[in-house]
Amino acid sequence: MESLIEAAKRLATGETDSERLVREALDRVAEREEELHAFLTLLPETALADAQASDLRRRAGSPLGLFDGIPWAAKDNLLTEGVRTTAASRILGDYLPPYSSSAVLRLEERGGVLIGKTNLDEFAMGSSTEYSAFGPSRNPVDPSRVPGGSSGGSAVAVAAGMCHFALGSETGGSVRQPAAFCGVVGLKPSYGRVSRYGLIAFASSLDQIGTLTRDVGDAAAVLGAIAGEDPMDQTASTAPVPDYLAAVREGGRGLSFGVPGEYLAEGVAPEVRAEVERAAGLLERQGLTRRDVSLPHTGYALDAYYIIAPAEASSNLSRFDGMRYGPRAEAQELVDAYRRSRGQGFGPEVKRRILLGTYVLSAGYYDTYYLQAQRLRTLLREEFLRAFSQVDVLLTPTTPTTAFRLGENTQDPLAMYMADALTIPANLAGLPAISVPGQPIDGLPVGLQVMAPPLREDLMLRAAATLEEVASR
Amino acid sequence: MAEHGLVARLAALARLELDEAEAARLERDLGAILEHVERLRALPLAEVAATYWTAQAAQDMRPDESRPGLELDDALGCAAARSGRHLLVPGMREDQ
Repeated sequence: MESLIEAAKRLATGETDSERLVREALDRVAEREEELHAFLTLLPETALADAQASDLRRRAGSPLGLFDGIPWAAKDNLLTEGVRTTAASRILGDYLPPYSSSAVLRLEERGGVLIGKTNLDEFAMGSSTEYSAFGPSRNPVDPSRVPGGSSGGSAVAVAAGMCHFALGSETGGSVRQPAAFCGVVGLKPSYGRVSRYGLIAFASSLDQIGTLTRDVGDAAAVLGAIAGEDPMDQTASTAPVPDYLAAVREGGRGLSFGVPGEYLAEGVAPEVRAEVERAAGLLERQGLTRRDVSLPHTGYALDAYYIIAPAEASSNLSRFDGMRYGPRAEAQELVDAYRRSRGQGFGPEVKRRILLGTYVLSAGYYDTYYLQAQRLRTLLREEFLRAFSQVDVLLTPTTPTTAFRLGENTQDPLAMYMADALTIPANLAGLPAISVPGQPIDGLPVGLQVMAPPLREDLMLRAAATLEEVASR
Repeated sequence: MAEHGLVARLAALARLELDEAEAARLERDLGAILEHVERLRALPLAEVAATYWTAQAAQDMRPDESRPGLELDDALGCAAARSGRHLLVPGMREDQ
């Protein structure tokens, strides 16, 4: 499937129309959805109606933007007014939100055509989409393997050509990791760059909405559409939104980059390390300067994350108790109704994280675990800022390995958590980061990650555009 | 393995009903995760300030004025049970 920007050009010249684009997307869904399970809800009727409305606007000569008439998909933890939203959990039942998330609204206002809601690990907790209560998604490159997670359905939908782009969400790598596994581009903005209003909360100090696209130019376009201040989210940055497409056109020549050795350490497959070194060499040949940088506490980031994120999750998920939404278990007493509704409604990974979060926040353990993790977060952020005083961006692998097989890590939570070891630091520090496909390893996609200082998505996109140009050659 | 009885105490705090097999598995998993993060406890960080948020430019609070919000039927539309303007929930005690 062509990129969003290419499709928009063809719409503008009249070579195609929105209805045709949507029908092509739905045909592709019909061909591969049974095997890949990218979607939890499909919206063919409303999508076709929206496409026809877009075509009418175009024929009437209205000035239309880049997104008007373009088919897209949203992760099913983004609220969509009147459209079933499950977060891939049984506890929400057939929840129909009374309002839409700000990011969804901004794309709808631009005429984007939502074709469906995509699969995820339950409440975005997971790295493979195997923890969806409605069954796993599969990697379109090799369906015996996972697509990554938690935004696995969004990555699959884009990689399999079922839509032109998709929104996902990140708490510890849930956009970049599936993008790397499926061979597409995954962008996590700086914390605060995109409003979180209407994103079902997992860990509020880490959560961000991100993009899954076919290329870096599309990532810049979608980010430009959803970024910016929002009166509905007090943490949304008021900083102006730069012209990200201009950054992509400018490219990375003249920038400096570092490859921190801590990201090529034990646990990272030798082939992945070699691919990063190859990409670094290609960037140097394109006029970027490499300098040595070090981030000594990187190895502790995973530990801090698995204290902070479950702590916040145990608090955020206390609202799901069978009273206001979702099915309620039979019980005579209120507390039993809570316990049973939550016991029956949550899946294994969510329960694991709720208990872990309850533990690290309980009396006697708060200082030992939670406060210690937040202190480490300060060190990680300071190390990043020091590194960014020496270089413009960092280049690392996105994941330690390529996609693993379904079932390989479901019985070993620590092994599953390791899949996010290289993406988590950017979430803890609030940095923007992007995964761009490298040269496949044994036929499987691999991701190259570019990180930049907070709110410097422009620098990140400049480097990523050059990386994209040379890395997959 | 986590300390025996820990999972039951946490499940009670978190209002989470678990069957025996789940509790046994979670005891094993929590033990492994806590053992893994143990090395973080050993780091000398007492003098380092904690970072709870990384927001760059949080907005000012809006004026404290009432304004239209969700309609009642929208807010209660997905509730398991309601009575007029209220959520209907089981009693706090069996005799209620």
